[in-house]
Amino acid sequence: MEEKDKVRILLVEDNEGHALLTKDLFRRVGVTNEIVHLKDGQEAWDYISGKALPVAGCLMLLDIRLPRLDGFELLRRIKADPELKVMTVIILTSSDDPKEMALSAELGCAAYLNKPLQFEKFTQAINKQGLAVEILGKTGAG
Amino acid sequence: MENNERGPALPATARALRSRAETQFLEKEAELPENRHALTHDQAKKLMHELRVHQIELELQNEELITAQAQLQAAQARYFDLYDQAPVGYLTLDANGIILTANFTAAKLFGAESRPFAGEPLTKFILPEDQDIFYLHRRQLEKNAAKDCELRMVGAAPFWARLSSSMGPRAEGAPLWRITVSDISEAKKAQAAVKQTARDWQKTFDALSDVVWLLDADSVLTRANKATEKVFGRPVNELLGLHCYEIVHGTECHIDGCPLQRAKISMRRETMELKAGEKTFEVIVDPIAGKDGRFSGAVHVISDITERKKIEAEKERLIERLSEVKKEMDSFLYITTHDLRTPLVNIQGFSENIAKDIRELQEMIDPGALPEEKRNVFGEISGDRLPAALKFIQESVGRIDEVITAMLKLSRAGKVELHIGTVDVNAALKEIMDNMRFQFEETGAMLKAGALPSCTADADSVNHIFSNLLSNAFKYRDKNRKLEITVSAEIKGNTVVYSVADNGLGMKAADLPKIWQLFFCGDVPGVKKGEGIGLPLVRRIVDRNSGRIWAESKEGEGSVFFVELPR
Repeated sequence: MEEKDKVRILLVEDNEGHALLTKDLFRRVGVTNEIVHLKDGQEAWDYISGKALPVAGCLMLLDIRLPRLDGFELLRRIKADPELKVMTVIILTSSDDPKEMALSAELGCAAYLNKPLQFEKFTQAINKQGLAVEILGKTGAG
Repeated sequence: MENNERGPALPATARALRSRAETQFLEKEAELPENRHALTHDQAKKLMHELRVHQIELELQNEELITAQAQLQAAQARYFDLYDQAPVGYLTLDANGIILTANFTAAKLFGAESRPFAGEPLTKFILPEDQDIFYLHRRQLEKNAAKDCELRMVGAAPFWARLSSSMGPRAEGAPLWRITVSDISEAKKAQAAVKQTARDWQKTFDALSDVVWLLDADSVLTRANKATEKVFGRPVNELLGLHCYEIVHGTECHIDGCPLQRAKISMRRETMELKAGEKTFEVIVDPIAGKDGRFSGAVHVISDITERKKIEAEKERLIERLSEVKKEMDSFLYITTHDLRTPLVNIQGFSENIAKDIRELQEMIDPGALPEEKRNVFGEISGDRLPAALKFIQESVGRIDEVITAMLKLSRAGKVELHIGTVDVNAALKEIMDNMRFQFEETGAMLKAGALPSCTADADSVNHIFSNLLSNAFKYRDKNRKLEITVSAEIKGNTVVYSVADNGLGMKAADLPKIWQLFFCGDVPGVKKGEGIGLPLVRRIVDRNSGRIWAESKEGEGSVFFVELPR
C-alpha cells in the first residue's frame, strides 16, 4: 500500500502530554500511518473542511473537552456535513460519564475510548469499522 | 278530744268511757221519780219497750262508731305515710321561724332522725354565708311576694336546698309558716359543671392569639374573643352587632373574594390572605349549618401570619440558596474530578512508558561491558530504584484514580434523573438474585424473603440500594457459617421499612456510624478493601428518593440494614 493510500489519523487533542502518549503508543506498536495532531476543535474543523480530503481514508481520534470548538460540536458538524459524515470518529477522553457516552453515540461516533489509550480497545474499535487491515494490515502490529 | 296540728286525738280508752257513762247514769237516776215502784204495768211495759229500742239503737250506733274509727285510723296512717315519706322535706314554723313540726324527710335532710328538733330555729341549719338569702326570703313572704329561694344548708352533710314557703292561718294564734325543702345538690353540681365548662371555654376563647368570631347568617358579629380588641383596637361590646365587613374592611358590603360569601355557597372552609400595612393576615371561615342543613352562620378566624410569611420567605430563600450551593458543589466536584483526570492520564501514561523504556535500556545495555564500579550502580538503578519508584508512582496514581472515580460516581448519583413510580420490590429482588445466583450457589448462601410490599421510588435506585446491601452482606459474610440473608418489610403509615438482615461478621459499635462516611473502609481481615463509597452512595440515593437508611449491628453476629421508602 502506498503511503498516500494509507489511513491518515487525525488526533484532535489539546493536551500535549496526551497527544504525545497516543503518538508514542502507535509508534511502539508499529503503526506508521501519518498522524496529524490538531490542537483544538476549530483547528480540526479548519483542517477537514478547508480542503478536499480523502475523508473515507481518515480516522479521527477526538477529545471532548477542547478549547474554542469542543468535541461534541465538532462531531455534530462532521455528521451534519454530507461529505464529511462518512469519516470514522473515535472519541478519546478521560471521562467515563455515561451521559457523555450516550451523547457521543447519539451524535454518531464509532467508538468511545478512555484515556490513556489501550491498544487492544483501539484494535477492537477499528475492527468493527473494517479499518484494521488498512491501518494494521501491513504492519502486523497488535 | 283535743286538736293539735297532728289532727284529732285518739278516742279515750274503754275504761275512761265506762267511768264517764257511770257518772252520767248517776246523774240521770237522780232525775227519775222518787217512787219507781209506783209504775203501772202499762207504764212499765212501755218503759221496757223504750229501753229495748234504745238499747238496739245504741248497739247500732256503736257498730257505726267502730267502723268509722277504723276508717279514721286507716286515713290517718295514710296521711302520716304521705306526710313523712314525701320526697321533699316538709316543715311548719311559727312566725319567728322556730320549727314546730317536720316530716321524716326533713329530719333526714338535717341529720335529725334520732332526735326531735322541733323548737329549734330553722336558721340553725343554714350556712352563715347564706343567712341573708333566707332573711330576704322571709321578708318577701311577709309581703306576700314569696318566691322560692336556693341556699346552702347543713344537715347530715352540707347540701344545696330549694325552699318554698307559704304562710297560712292556723285555727288559733299566729299564722303557720309552711316550708318545703328540696335537696338540689345534684342539680347545683351539674349547673356548676356547666358554668365551669363555659368559663373554661371563654378562657380558651380569649387566650387564643387569633381573632375568633361567631357570625350569624347575616354576617353580623355575635361573639368575639379578646384578641379582637388587640387587633382592632376597639372593645368587643362596640363591635357586636356590626357586620364583619364593616369591622374588617370598613366597607358597606362584602368585598370581592370574601371567604364568608364563598363558604356560604361551598359550605366548606374558605380562606383568604389579607395585607394590612406591614402585616399579613389569614382569614379562615368555617360555615355552620343549621338544623335544615343550610348556612346559619360561621366561625370566622383572623390569624396574624406575618411571622409565618417571613419564615416561609426566608425558608424559600434558603432552599433556593441551598440548591444553588448544591449545584455549585456538584459542578465543582464534577469539574475538579475531570480536570484532575487530565494530568493523571499523563502520569499514568508516561510512567508506563518509562517502565517500558527502562526495560528496553536494560536489554540494550550489557552490564558486562561496563566498568566494574559502574556495573553495580547500573544494576541497582535500573533493577531496583527505578522500578521501585515507578511502582509507588503507579500505585498512588491508581489510588487517586479510585478516589476520582468514586467522587464522580457520587456526583453523578446526584444528577441522575429519577423516575418515581410504584416499584415491585419482589421483582427487583428477584432480578438482583438472578445476577448473584452463582455467588450464592457456590457458597451455599441463602436468601429468605417473604412477599414484600411495593414502594414509591425510582426503580433503578431501588435496584441499586438492594444490590449494594446484598453484595455487602455477601462480602462481609462469616466464612465459618453459611450466609443467611433475611429481607422483610413493615408498613409504617405512609412508608415501608425494609430490612436486610444477615448473620455475617457484624461491625464494631464504634465503626457503625462511620460506615456512611465517604472513603471509610472497615478493616476486616480477609476482605479486600473497597472504594469506600458503596454505602455513602446508597444513602445519597435513598435521600433522593425521600427515604431514610440506618443500620444495627453486633460484631460476630451480623448486621441489619433498614431502608425506609414512601409507600
